[in-house]
Amino acid sequence: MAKVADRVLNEAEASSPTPGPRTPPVPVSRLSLGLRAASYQLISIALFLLVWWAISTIPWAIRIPSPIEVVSAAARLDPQTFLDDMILSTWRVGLGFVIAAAVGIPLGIAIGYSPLVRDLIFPSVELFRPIPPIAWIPLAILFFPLVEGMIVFLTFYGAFFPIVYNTVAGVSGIRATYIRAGKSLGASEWTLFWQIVLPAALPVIFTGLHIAISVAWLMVVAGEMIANRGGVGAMTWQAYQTTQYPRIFVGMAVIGILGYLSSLVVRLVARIIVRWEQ
Amino acid sequence: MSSAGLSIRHVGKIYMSRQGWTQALDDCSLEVPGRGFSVVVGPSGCGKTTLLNIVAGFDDLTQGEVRLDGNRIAAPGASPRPGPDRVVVFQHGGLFPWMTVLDNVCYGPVIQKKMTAAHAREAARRMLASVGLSGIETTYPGDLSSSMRRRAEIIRALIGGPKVLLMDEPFRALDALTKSVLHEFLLRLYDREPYTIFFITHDLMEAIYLGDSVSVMTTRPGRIKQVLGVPLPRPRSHKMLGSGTFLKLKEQVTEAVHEEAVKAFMAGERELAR
Repeated sequence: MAKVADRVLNEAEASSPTPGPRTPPVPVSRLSLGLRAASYQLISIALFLLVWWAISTIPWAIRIPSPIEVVSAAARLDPQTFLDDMILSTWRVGLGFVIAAAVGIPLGIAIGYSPLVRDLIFPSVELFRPIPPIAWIPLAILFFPLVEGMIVFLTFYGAFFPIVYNTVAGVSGIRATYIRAGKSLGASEWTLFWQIVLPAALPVIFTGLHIAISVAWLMVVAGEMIANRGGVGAMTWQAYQTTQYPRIFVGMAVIGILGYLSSLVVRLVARIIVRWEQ
Repeated sequence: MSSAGLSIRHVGKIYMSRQGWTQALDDCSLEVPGRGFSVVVGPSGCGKTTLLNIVAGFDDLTQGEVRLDGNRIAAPGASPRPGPDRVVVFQHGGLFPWMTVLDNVCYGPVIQKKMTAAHAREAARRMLASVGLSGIETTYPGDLSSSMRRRAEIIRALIGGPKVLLMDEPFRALDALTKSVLHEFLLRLYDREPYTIFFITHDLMEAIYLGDSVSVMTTRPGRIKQVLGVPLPRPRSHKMLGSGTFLKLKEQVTEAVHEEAVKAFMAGERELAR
């Protein structure tokens, strides 16, 4: 009897798709598809630069520097100060972001997991949410005698809410099936939390971190423009004050690039940790 | 008293809500003999899943009791407690997407500290291989076909040697071909080693094809209306799906379920008219 069953089991398997290493059948076509997409993307950027340049040559349009002027303005900057400004802004963003994650993720987990904590803490968190982070600037200046403290506070504050809200959503939105499956397989409350609730919420937590890093950049630029003590935001503001148009453009471009790179870092970390969602 | 199997005795369940109370189950009794394969069918909303959740320990009951191998596992007033002696295979799949197939299958024995991680891995590998599922150990469930996911989940449920396997419409929402592959899979597993299985479905063909007995549930409040033995021999094969015995049974079960479905429909109409 057992023999028959084994045989039929194997037969059933043979008729179903066989597992194995999944390599693309025709790797060449995939590559050429990638190349085609990349070439379209390059065309898009080239067109943008062309339009920009065209507008800059129109005499009666708003006076904007041409791409070439912007590049040469960037080249004329003192490389040491330029680099220092970039490092300073990135450091401020990183510090505020890390503090926000360190406070926001545990808080979000507690709120999402325990109805008691939710009722105790969430309403007061909700009170602050409708206040745009930028509205905190005057108070932040008064609170913090040091400029550093004020700017890091602002980046922290901007990053904090997306992190908390997404963590709460991630933890409370877990499919009940996973919790039940865990209990059914014999998980205790403690293992249930660490091995089921937390990993199940991770993809949504990372969505929060991704939003948070861009809000942190928004806040650092706002804070630096007000404080005018170093950083790419201050650099851009000084360019405005001295009416150096090309330098304003350089500042904006650098802010954009740094923002993009830091969101790339968050995405890479997510990719390593949330391996199963690719 | 200490008879093997699952014994559901006069179980009643009342849900309280703001609108008042609902009697989901009333005097519901069912015996699943040890190593027997019992299937429960009924119209949707009849309380099948409620019954399974009570047995699983996800929900409490307000009347009666449930015994497993003679031990009482659910009674009124006792807080429900799920456990590895009655593992559930879920409606929409319950594999953890963040674990590889191997880690999923090992999960039960490892957290119950029944086996060391190395032992569990070895056992899981062997068990997966014995059902033709080797080669997917390091794959995440999201990268598998729905058929392989279901099979891996069944293996995960069985590896710890539960006293009863609870299956909550596990093949619902699958296409007919995948379903038939999974039917073969489950039947062959059962031929090799008969587990005690409590299976819920609204697919009548599936119920007759898989089960030793088919219990028809009434519409709310749910109760077992009729138990039909399935005299088809094992090992079962899809050729039996055309046999006279099968067709006759199908007619009987359809008749019984249809009556309840009509009642449920009329009750719904009345509720709407109010």
